[in-house]
Amino acid sequence: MIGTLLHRAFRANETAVHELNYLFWECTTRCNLHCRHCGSDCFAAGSDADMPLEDFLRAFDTIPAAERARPFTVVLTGGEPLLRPDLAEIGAALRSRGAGWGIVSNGWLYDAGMHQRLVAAGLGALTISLDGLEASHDWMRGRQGSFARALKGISVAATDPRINFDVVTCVHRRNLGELESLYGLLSGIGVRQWRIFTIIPIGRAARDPELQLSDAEFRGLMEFIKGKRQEKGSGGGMKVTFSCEGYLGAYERQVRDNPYFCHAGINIASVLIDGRICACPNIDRDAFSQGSIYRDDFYQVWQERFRPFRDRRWTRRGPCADCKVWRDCLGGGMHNWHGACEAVLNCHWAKTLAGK
Amino acid sequence: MLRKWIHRALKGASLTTALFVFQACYGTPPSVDMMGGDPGDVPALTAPEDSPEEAPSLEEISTPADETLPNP
Repeated sequence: MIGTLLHRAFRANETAVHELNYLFWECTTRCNLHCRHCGSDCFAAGSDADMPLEDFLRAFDTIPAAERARPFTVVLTGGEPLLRPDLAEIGAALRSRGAGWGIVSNGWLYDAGMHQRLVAAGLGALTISLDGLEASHDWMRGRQGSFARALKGISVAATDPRINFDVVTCVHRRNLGELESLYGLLSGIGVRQWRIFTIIPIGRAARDPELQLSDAEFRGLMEFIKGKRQEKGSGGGMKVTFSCEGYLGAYERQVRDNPYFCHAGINIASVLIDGRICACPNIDRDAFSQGSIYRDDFYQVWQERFRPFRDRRWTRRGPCADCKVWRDCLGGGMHNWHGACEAVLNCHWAKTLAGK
Repeated sequence: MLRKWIHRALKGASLTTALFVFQACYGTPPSVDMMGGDPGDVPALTAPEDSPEEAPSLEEISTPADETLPNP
């Protein structure tokens, strides 16, 4: 109980201060894959032109230099950021401004040469997706050969101490039975951190029921992660963590390092491909964007807007209206609210309880 | 200057990177040289959900949707 109260106080303080220390840049919507679960609904050609670096930097430079001096990470996302030809230039520009930077990638283009160039440009963090063993991953990613390419990229990056690296896996019905094998595969090639997600029904995933876990399957996933973390605690290998996507009740301390806290709009912002300012790129941008870098001062928007993110009492609707854990959940992750926002798309806490 | 320091002490400072190094759901871990930060001062302990006043609706606190965006 004391821990819960302390965490609520911590969260209240963070919300009041809303220090920006994590900025997504959706630098392209071009992609070389066709993933079944892509919430960005990306296409090979990209429906929007890549944002020029100078446009992003103009927005970035509205952040006072004193703010940039704190721990600050810019994360390039997309689409597939490795398709941009100017990554070295981007990295140098961010480093010269005192920001660390990272990339989220499908790994198709990630090889030793790419790794060398990006580390030389100051890359400090990298995440590569791997969504199952070969057949499952290639099915998910919509291109044969994706698994081999991703695995090659993971092998290159996993043991380099100069970057903070992890692998992410979206778990669904097809790959749920492969987690043990994946654990062995990834830990065997030196991966130290593995993050696991489930898929929310947005974008292309909304049309594919195979991508959604049942409540029992979700609890099975929680038990798997819990078990691996217990092994790690007794000297096992790779750290396994569940994502920050929702409140998990009794599983909170068993599958995560820190209690649930959706930092979207509190510590996290994004500059989207068309210049809109929002939080995490998988959040409904039509419902929640707060302005545009082509019209507004980015940092002023950060300081003065973002009210739906910093006051989440509006989530008291639908099943959340009289939920007894709302004060700890606050309606779950912001990416779980879409369109008319009549109700949360996924209640993770309910999944952990169903059938008990 | 004194007023600024008092304001900062009362407002608190972010503890996110000092105590709870986090990463966004679909992002990377923090850049390797960016781990760690300054410890906080006196924290704020009240949150919007603690406020006795009536909660605003989503429509009241949302930014109006753009009808048109200027061409980049």
